[in-house]
Amino acid sequence: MKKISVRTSDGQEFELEENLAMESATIKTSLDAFSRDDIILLPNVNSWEMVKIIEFFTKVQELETKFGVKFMEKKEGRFLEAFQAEFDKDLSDDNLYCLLWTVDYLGIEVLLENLCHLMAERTKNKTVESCRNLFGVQHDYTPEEEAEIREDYSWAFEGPEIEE
Amino acid sequence: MKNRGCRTSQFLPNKKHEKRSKTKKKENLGKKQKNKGELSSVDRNGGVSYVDRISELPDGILVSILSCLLLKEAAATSVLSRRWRDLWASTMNLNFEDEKNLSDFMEVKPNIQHRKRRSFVSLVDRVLQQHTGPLIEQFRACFFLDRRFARSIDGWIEFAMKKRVQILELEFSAANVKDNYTFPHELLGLETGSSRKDLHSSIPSRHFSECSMGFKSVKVLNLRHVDVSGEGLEYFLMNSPVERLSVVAAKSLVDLRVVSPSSAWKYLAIENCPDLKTIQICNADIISFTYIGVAIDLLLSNVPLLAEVSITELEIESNNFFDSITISVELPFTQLSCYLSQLKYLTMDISEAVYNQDYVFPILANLKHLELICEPHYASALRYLTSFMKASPYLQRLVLKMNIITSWLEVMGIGKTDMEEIVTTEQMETVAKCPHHKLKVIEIVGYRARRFAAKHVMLLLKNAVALEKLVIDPVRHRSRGPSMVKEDIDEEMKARNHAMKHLKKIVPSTVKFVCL
Repeated sequence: MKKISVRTSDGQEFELEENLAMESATIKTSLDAFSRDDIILLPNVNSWEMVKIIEFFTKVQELETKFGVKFMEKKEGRFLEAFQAEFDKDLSDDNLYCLLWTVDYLGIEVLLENLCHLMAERTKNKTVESCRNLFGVQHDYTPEEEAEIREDYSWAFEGPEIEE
Repeated sequence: MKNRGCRTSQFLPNKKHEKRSKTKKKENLGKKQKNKGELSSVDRNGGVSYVDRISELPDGILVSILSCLLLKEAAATSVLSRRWRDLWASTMNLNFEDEKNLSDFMEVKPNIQHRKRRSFVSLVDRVLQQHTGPLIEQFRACFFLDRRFARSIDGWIEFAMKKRVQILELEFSAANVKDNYTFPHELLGLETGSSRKDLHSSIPSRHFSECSMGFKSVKVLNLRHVDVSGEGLEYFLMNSPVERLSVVAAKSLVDLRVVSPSSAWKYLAIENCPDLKTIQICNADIISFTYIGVAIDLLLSNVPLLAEVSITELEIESNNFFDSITISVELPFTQLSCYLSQLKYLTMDISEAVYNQDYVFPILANLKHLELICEPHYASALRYLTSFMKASPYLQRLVLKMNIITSWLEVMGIGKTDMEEIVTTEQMETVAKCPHHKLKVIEIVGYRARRFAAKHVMLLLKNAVALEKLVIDPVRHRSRGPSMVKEDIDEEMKARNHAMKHLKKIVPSTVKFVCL
């Protein structure tokens, strides 16, 4: 299997198996345009992120062998659980944001979806205030505007039953 | 990259990503310190030590994240900031299921029930009005709805079609199937000149072409207590790339004949359709087939990929006094005879089955996983069990599910006699003579504390000489959709204790014993 070399922003080089490298739409486009022997430069990707991505691919292959299902091709609940268990503990919120950026830049659909799920898990059952802190969002509503939104989407803020 | 509605990133190599300068505020740095911000991520520019926060992510990703949340949670993000106000409205998943109302619906009075129904329908109508994204992936509505709400439900389906929905799930419930909501067949692309009067819907005809285009996007269709005809389903299977189709409790389904359907179609499940007479599938790449209901004419031909079957056919004999319901094991085996040797997964409900000593079981040469739904009284299942195990020499996993409906005899305290529960020495000997060498895992689901349970499990253990794991799970899992059965927590506790007390000691050390 052909190996593709990539160089991250801090100068480190990694070798990826061709079929895995092709999971990245960005790398694939590069490969189509240029020769496969050249090193692909990824100035927007950090080495720790690359390590995580390779870790992900390795994990997928492990799980595929274990469950006998091609996870790359379809969304699978079991994979999601296993993925979350493995990846969730080492990633701080900041790291998760950066990884989301990078994976989006690289265009790795499967990993992106799973990271979105991870991020979603972290926001569940949080109050609005703690969500603001988590996301680092600046509150820019006037009190009137906020009241209007709460009115418009009252169904989201109330309990399960809406009396009509 | 796949072109999904709201995804804005189309990155080329070496292009820097566009930052949303609107939200790039200095205040964010202050907030960062509030976090236990171990700045573990090194920035990529090699200069400023600044971390991208979530609002810097492009809309498409934020929408993907919001799509993973419950609808209410997603909509609640609208108060975070101006940037977030309308993001939720592009969510790709619309899943309307009110857990709390589902579980206590059956307990309340009819007028309150109707009020809850109206609330649910209003909620869905309102949310759909506020949804602005161009595409959705999933639309699911799960509640006790019927034809009284046809106008609204027609609107929901129209909405979903227009947004190119991929997973459409309508899981309703009605006391009587004749009150079922009827699926608007025009949306399937059928000519409006259909002679069936009951296929009328309220959708004006100019919307049809737009909607039937939308049907080309549906990959998964789940209908429960929604009336749909065989004709409609056939048309759908032939003309759309649907992968999974499930129809439960549809009154108008009488005949389903599918010949050379789209090759994307892999999975079919039909359950409890009271007037169904025939299922015919020909030249299809179907992998999984499920049928539960009255005995029908089942005709399968040229389905070389069929590997998973779940089948339960009830034969009803009407007597002068009562209807006797039996489950026939022989009938499905006969109907599937050409495919038995290729099956890897088989599920059958044998709880009302009458064991026929003279019947010769066909060999299930490729069977790896067998699930049998049986009565709480193990003894009647045991006879079948030995036959099944002999017939599947390569079986690796066996799951016994104790039937969820407690027989009325049990409830009245008239259990089956102890005699029937006893495992005879004869049975033990037969079993010892032909041990199973491949079976690795046995799971007993819905385990209950019974006097002879331990003996029965011992029989199983004797037979499965290569066993690695025995799992006891006292919880009887519900079927999908609005359910009307309450779980019995006490019984589960008793079962757990019984298993730990009596079973643990008879399990050999080579077998891992798990009690859930």
